[in-house]
Amino acid sequence: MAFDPQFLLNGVIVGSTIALAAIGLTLIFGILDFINFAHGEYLTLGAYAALVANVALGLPFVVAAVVAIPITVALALALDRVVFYPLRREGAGALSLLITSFGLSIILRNAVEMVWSSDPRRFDVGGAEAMAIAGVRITAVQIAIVVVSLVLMIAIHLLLTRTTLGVTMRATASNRSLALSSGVNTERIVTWTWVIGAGLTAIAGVLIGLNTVVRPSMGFGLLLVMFAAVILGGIGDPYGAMLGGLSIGIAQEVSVAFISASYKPAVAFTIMVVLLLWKPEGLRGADT
Amino acid sequence: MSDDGLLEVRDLNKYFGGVTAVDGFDMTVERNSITGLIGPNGAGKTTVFRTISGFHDPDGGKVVFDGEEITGKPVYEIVEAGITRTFQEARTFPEMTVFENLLVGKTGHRGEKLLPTTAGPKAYAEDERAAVEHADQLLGYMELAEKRDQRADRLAVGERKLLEIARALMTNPDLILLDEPMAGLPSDLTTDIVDYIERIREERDQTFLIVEHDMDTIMNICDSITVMEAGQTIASGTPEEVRNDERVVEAYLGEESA
Ligand SMILES: Nc1ncnc2c1ncn2[C@@H]1O[C@H](COP(=O)(O)OP(=O)(O)O)[C@@H](O)[C@H]1O
Ligand SMILES: [Mg+2]
Repeated sequence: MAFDPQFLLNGVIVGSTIALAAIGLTLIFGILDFINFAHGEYLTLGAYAALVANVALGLPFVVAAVVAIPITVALALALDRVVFYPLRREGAGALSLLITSFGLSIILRNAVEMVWSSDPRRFDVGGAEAMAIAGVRITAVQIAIVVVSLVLMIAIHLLLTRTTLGVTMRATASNRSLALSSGVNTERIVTWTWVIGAGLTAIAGVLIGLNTVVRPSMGFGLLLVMFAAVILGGIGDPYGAMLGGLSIGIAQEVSVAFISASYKPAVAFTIMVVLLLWKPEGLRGADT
Repeated sequence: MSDDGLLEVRDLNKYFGGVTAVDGFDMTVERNSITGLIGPNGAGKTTVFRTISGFHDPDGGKVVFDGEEITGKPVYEIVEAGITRTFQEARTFPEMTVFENLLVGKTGHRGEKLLPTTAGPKAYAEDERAAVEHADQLLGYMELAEKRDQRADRLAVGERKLLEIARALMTNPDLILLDEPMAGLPSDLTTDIVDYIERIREERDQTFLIVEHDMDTIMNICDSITVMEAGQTIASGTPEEVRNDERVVEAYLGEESA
């Protein structure tokens, strides 16, 4: 059987959304040194915020998607204030933060299910008719997903390299006390990182909901894949997260050409483990 | 206090659990001076630095800078007030370029505020441009211009020390605290650093407070020296006075025989 490029295309679509969500996860890790288990729920909440705006309030889809960003960001900031900041101030270790975020993840997921039930929902949007381009089927929506993801990744690159805010974020991730003695208000950088991380994750949630369905477990279901992307790329490294997300998405979807789709997660993790055995520093580790 | 030192440290105390690291320490740093802080290992010099720069809250006493009490303020506010420090082992952001290392020390950090555009995008852009210019000017001044786009971890040790000083200057300080700036340097590089410190003091109107083990260097470069032992000030004065002080001689003899 000849290889069908359709699988590769699907991989790029799925991979670019995973990459987007993984950037947020890895940025927060870089600054706060803990893996936020509730990150998947931020993705879910982003999708539901857009869903409510789009389906319940009848706003055009694009407007609803934009509205979801500040809502998710506000939620992430509020949770940081109420939950993570007090722990941080008391000098809680990474393990306490991790377990706390795990609890938060469960609470948020159950809350979403209580409010919206576990039924899968869809956005009210057109553009679902597939076109055939160069032998692959793609919808306008899928093109938009890839374009939006790529544009955002480029924007993140420009932010991190071309602005003092971005440089300061990288500095804070690299060495917090040195950033402090350079005059950086590191708590403000933490706030910025939540804003950017949660904002990207909200968009990822909307795009994933658009490509498939919106359901309470969507973020949690992707959490392990996001972890894999982050670890594969070298933890704390936003470019690594992009590369890791794309690689894992493509690997998962291409694997469907050879084995049953129900083994997708196993494929993702097999790749992660093999790559880590080969390159323990992550995909981008070699040049450091 | 009636004297008008740039920095006044009065009756400073700092404990770590049962350990008394700083015990009623006093010192004055005169404006535009190069002042030395010396003492045997474990005397509390680094702790004094950490407390002045806001990394530790003192358990007693106060720090007055330029007439304003700064005791216990957060680090970034102390930097904004005009005090910056370097670290005992030259610290850099290793995976960032030399130029980016400097940008971190940009003062004001308008870009860091949540709503940078409240001042207007034009003011923001102007701010960014000024920071770039300032960084490039300092790279020229510290003779690091060719290394501008190299990663900091590719620098030689002497260049890393210069980068640290440049990053400190980027915050527009009035007082620079240097913790063992000559540590681990061969003697020709030590001379270079001394030259830079003297030049920066003259040309940029800076004040330095230096902790250093190399006695020849300290005696040679400082206008005034404070000696501490076991967390307390045991002497202060000109290098000449301090060198001949009985308690100082004793403290150092003690260290040598230890
Ligand atoms: N963070 C800390 N926790 C516990 N003890 C400390 C800490 N920092 C310094 N000390 C103790 O305080 C004393 C002074 O240390 P330090 O300020 O590093 O001296 P110096 O720089 O003069 O060699 C030492 O006894 C040291 O062990
Ligand atoms: Mg020391």
